[in-house]
Amino acid sequence: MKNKGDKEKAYRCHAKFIYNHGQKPTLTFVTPGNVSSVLYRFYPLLIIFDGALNNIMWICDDICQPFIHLVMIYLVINLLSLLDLDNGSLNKLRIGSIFTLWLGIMSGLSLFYAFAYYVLTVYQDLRDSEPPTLDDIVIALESVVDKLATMRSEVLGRAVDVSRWKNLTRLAILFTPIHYFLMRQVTIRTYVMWMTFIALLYHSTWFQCTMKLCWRVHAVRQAYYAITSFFDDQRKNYRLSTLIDAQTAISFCSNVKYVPRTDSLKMLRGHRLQLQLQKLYPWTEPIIGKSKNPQSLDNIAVIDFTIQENQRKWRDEGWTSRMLSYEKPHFCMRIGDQVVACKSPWEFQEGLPAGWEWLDDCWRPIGWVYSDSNWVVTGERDSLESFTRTKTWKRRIFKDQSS
Amino acid sequence: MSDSPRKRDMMKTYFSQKYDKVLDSLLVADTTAALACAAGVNSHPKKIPNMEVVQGIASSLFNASIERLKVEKDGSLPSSIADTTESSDDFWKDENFRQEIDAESHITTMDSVEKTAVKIENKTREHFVDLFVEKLITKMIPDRLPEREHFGELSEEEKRKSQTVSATVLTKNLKKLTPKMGEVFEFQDSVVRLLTWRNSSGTVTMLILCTMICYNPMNLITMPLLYIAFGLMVPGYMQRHPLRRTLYPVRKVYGRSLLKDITDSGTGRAWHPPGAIQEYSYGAQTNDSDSPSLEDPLSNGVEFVANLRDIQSATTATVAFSESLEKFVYGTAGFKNERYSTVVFLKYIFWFCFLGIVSKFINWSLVLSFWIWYSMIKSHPKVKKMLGPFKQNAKQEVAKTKKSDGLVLDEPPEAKFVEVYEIYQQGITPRHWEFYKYSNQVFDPLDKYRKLQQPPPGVFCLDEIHPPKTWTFDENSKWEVDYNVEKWATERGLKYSMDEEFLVDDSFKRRRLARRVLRYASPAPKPSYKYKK
Repeated sequence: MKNKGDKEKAYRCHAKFIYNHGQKPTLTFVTPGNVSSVLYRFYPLLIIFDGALNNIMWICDDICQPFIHLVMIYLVINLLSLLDLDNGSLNKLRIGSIFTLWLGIMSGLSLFYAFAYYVLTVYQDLRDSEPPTLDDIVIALESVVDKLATMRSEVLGRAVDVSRWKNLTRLAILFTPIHYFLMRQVTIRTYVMWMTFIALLYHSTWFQCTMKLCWRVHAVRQAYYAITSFFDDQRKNYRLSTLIDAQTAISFCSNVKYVPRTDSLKMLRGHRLQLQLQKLYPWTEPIIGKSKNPQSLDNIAVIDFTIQENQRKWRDEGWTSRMLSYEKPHFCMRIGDQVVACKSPWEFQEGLPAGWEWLDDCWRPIGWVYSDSNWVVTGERDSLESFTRTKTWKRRIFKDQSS
Repeated sequence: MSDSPRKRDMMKTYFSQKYDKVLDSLLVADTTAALACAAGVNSHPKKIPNMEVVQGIASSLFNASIERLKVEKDGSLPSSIADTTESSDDFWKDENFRQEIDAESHITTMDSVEKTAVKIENKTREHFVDLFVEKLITKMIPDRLPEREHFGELSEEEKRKSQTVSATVLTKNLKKLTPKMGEVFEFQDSVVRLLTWRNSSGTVTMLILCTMICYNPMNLITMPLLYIAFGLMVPGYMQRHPLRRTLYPVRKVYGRSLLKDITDSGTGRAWHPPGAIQEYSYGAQTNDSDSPSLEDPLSNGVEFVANLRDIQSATTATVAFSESLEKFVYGTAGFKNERYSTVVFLKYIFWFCFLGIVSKFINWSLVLSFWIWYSMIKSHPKVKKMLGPFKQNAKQEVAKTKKSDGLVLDEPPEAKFVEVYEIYQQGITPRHWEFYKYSNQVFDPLDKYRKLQQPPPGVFCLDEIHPPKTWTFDENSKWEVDYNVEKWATERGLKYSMDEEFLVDDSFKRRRLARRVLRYASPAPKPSYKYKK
């Protein structure tokens, strides 16, 4: 027993990770001379810019420095509080405000000097030390680009798409009253201060992690989607007042195919017609027919109902039909461009309006398709990545227009 | 090969079952002996006779060996030990990595039984000496130990545990504590670095935070919350769900910070061996999960010993601190040096009154924050160097002025009377008395020295009598004979015949001499353990 256990332990082989940052061929010999010289001149600016980005993202070696800068900026902004004083009260300027003034000016000056000193020492160090290799410069460039990309994705990650004019207008409409209210309630100093704070802290790991942790809260997501649904025409339509049943589905359906009554279908009615249609148009193949009503009575209208059943994976319960309130409902179907909640296939089957008959004998499921939390498809198997899944139920109906 | 431990176990159980009764009877006999021994020690509390010590050691040795056998025989202990170790290991298992835990447990279940058996055997073997010491201690201190207050009611088991002194538990605790104390000493390092400006931007940050606290004391509560959230929990979250920010290696850092260059006072002086920081990763754990470094704290050699040394110096510092505290409480606050203590007391009273009156009119936030900034800037090494010459001058001036503080220490001393008895022995004839001794004992027929037919403690010359401890004789008084014999005799319940100033019994007579003693002050208080020596 023991030996067997030992053997199993010994043969447990673990795969290795792939590391991309191997040795790269040097760029020195393949780069034209004038590009190199431009890059070399550009290098100090790159370093300074990189340092500024480090400060904004709070990833410098000395984490206290961005904090001190933040406090200094606060003191400078605090100068705005002197604006709030009325002209009349300027005569009795108190010691406190003089102190504020002094502190603000001093920290502004020291900020300026600190920056100037930094720039100077960068140039000095570059002059005194051996010149950087082309690879160093490229690494600095890559670092800057990567940081900028990170910042962009952090800002625009879940932001509203404002590339369309419609959304931009909506954004303006939404924010104008908010800003108006803020301007009435809050002094310029407070407004500027909080905006600066948020701007300076936003890219810190703390802020980002806090946002990620807040994103775990259902209420936060609900609020977010409630606000952004204002901009997203798609999502608004998930829930209508009542669940769609067969009758409304047919009346809204624009995807009706009209099959001409060929010889083989002539004279057939009811059940026999259904059998024949099944034979002619197996459910695995799409029906080829005219989508426009050809105005003649000798046609059979066929509608292909597709109902999506959605499920979400919960930590304790596993896969259930309980969905988040803002996302796709348990059963939904696509009508036109909209995805709307509908009744389950079995309820659907009850309320078929007169004249319509089922073409297929039963609902045909097409296996689960797994997707992540944002409904981006991940594959056909359940994995750690997948949090939602969709099953498609299909069944066709037909109507003999001549009857 | 694999069957041999099991066979041994079976043999053991067989033998222990066979000798179970014998062992129990031996234990009972031993405990009764110990009780008897304890009773004997109680009657002579000063020291344990040699024979008893030898007997005690022998019996505790015997007792420990019996205990060991009992442990081996007993089935309940192994399971309990296994339970505790398992539960502590369970804490470190990750809910997100079930597949790995399952795979591991699959392997461990096979030989876990044997492993635990071996472990327990080692344990009992190791702790034989500890058991012995434990028994010895319980022999030496027979009484119940004084108890401490507890917040709630303790169960019997807990009571027993908290009662006994166990070398095993002490060393085990120390062994467990030592590797964990590393972080505490790291923290100490960082505090020192902050206070000595070796991490200048950190110091400035600290000052800013202190100022914020001064202006709004509520920050003292909110900041720890912020620290726990962003200093502890966010890094924990980032460890588990990295933000995937790539960091590019920098060969050389260009440019310097103005603040750092101005306030720099040298880098930290603490030295750490290279590679002392241990990085814990799941990969390493799965590769060699039974490597000793993770299980046994003793194998992280340097770190462990360094921590042990730090604990040692921490205890030394604690001792030094408690000594200086004691010096203050029993010295300065106990009026040991009366002049100094009086000055200190008056200073405190003055500051109390002054601050009490003035505090309403002072912006404390401003004053405190200024004071903090001022004292920190003053303590900066560079500023200190500049201030050096000024400071010396100031000190000299202070030394000059501090000569007469105008204190008058003239409380009337405490006065009391002391007595001795001048004892005469009857000579050949009833009228003939010979001087016998000056003694503090009356030496009447009921006196214990008289009964033992020994002379009472005393001297032959009046000058050789000393006042009670801490007292002095009043130089203006003399030994005076008490002529009111009847009074002092009745006060002491002595009923003998009187002859002038003498109280006379069958073979001795004595008279009472009294003298005034003085004392300026009672001795200063001392900590309780000082009295016992």
